[in-house]
Amino acid sequence: MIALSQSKTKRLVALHGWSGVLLSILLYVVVLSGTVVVMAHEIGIWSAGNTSVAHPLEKPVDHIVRSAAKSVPPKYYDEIRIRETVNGELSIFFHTHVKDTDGNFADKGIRFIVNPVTQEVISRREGFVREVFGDEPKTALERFLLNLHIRLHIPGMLGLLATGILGLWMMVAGISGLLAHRHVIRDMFVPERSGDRLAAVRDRHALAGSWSLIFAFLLAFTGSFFSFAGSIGIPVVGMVATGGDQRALVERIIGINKPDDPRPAALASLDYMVMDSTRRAGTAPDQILITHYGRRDASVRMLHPASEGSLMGQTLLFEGPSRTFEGVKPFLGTVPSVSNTAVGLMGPLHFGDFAGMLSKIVWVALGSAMTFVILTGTRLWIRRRAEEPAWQAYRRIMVAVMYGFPIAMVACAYGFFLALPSGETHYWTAFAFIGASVLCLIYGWRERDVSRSADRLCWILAISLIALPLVRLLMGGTAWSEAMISGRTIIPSIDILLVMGGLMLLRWGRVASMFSITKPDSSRVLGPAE
Amino acid sequence: MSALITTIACVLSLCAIRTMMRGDAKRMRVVGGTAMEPTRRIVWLSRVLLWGPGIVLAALGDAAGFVIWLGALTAFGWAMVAMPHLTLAATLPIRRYVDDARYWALGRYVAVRRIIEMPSRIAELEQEVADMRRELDALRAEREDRAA
Repeated sequence: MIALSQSKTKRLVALHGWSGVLLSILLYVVVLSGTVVVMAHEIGIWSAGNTSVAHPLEKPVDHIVRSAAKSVPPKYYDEIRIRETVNGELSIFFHTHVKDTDGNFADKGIRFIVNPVTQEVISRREGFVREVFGDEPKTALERFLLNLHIRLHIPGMLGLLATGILGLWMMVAGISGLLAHRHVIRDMFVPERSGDRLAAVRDRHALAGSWSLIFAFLLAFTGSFFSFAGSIGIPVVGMVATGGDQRALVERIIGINKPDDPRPAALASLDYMVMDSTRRAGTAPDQILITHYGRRDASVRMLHPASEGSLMGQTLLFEGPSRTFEGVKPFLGTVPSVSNTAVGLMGPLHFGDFAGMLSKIVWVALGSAMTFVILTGTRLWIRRRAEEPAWQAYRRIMVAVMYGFPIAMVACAYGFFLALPSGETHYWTAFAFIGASVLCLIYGWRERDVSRSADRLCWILAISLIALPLVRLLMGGTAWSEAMISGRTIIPSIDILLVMGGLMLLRWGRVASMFSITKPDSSRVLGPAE
Repeated sequence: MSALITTIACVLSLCAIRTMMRGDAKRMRVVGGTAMEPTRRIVWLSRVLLWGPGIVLAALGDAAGFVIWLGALTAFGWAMVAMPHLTLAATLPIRRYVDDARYWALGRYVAVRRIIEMPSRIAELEQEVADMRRELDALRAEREDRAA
């Protein structure tokens, strides 16, 4: 594509190969978990057995919020966050911002969970945000998978930095691969050559890489943005722009709050504002934020998902006491801008959740293609070094990870369902994941025959996928008939997909032999895409 | 409606990729087939089908549809190109499974029907046997009469 000298091409190939292979295991983990968590919301519904189809915010909420507010001390009226729980209930969190035991600012308040139909209070808990939200048993699986993708379960900012660096690393691999591969367009329709030659392995990697390049770059960039933006990027840029003035920074990024007016004033009808906001945005809000409840300076923000045909959701702002529409609140800053649009696009382009199931299916396909690129690239690298003992060991580990990681993800679902009656789902979900990972790694390391270990691990994965819906039903999960009657087709759909995935693995699981080598290849000549 | 338009756009562009694949000489050398020699009209039609739906979606201001179209094109386009042998012959195992399942289901259906129909069938057969016996008795009686 771009004419480069032979020495430059060699350097690029080395950069591409090393950048990929050094972090191939972590890249594989992040990309595959990302592919799975595209469906995080659906996995949450499936695991919790939520059969409520109607969104709680489409029902009247005004009376529920007012009743709950009566039993809450006014110190928690600073902010109220109203949203749907994974069980289809209404979560209302009255809170304020205080310093926790570590000296960091955190939200503290009272959280109500209310049945939106009967308006009955299911639970009322007081504490810091991590205490009142953290241990909901039914959210364990969804939260575990999300945390795995977002921060690899590394606590604090380090996890975000790790996944952010992986995203940047992936961009480096993508760009160097594009520059090193000289015939991207010309070879766009050329499949892998037959046989188990090195060239065939290279063809497979180059083809998948060429086709998925645009979205690999896009997903890696947006992923890195999410890792770095909140933790480092925006605060650092903002601090530089405002000369270290924190108040000015908050005003510039989040927006200027109205002047304080603590005089008491009743909040206007929330139901009216929800109706008005839905009419303006084209979709029902999925979250409501009320600040300074019961005061004259109260404001209400309605967060809407993307409407049909658009990529971005929007936040509509209302004046609390008078229910007057004040305008659309930008994601960044106080007035519409190019940077605000760019930041707003990051979410939909990374999560693929802007057009319901259709966009999610495409994003899963894109994630699968990227996973394939990582696996084929690693295979190519190992294949070229098949004779070296260190790379033989790496090959064994790679096979263990390739199957072990999906097995561990399925195992954590088993841990979740089996622990559901006891309520200790968070612990057992994590325990099952770690246990399965360790066992797979030990087996993969000890088994010298890569083909055999691949076959066995593939078989374990297939059987565990097929049996998972059965375990879910046996542990009291929502039955298909109940799900179908209530219109939650996603529950049987995921069950069917799991069984189909298992059956397909049993039938075609010999992709497994990706890392096995049938005959030693003595070819050491560098090809254009190597 | 938007989802339907986007799906149609994706299908049209994927059809164009399939046509372009079959006209790619290098690909055909690799898969061991003969490249279709497309006429100028087919080449232009493929190009229009490939890019046209995306341009239409963009012109309609359907940003979500455009991004889905582009994503589907890269992901499913790759899948199509990467599987050169995805022909009827390659889908034989699937079809065999489907056929087996169909015959299995048909067999069970017929068996269940037979079991359900068994009492009435037995009654019919008994009736037939009784009729035949009656006829036989009548014939015997006739023969005995004749002999007498």
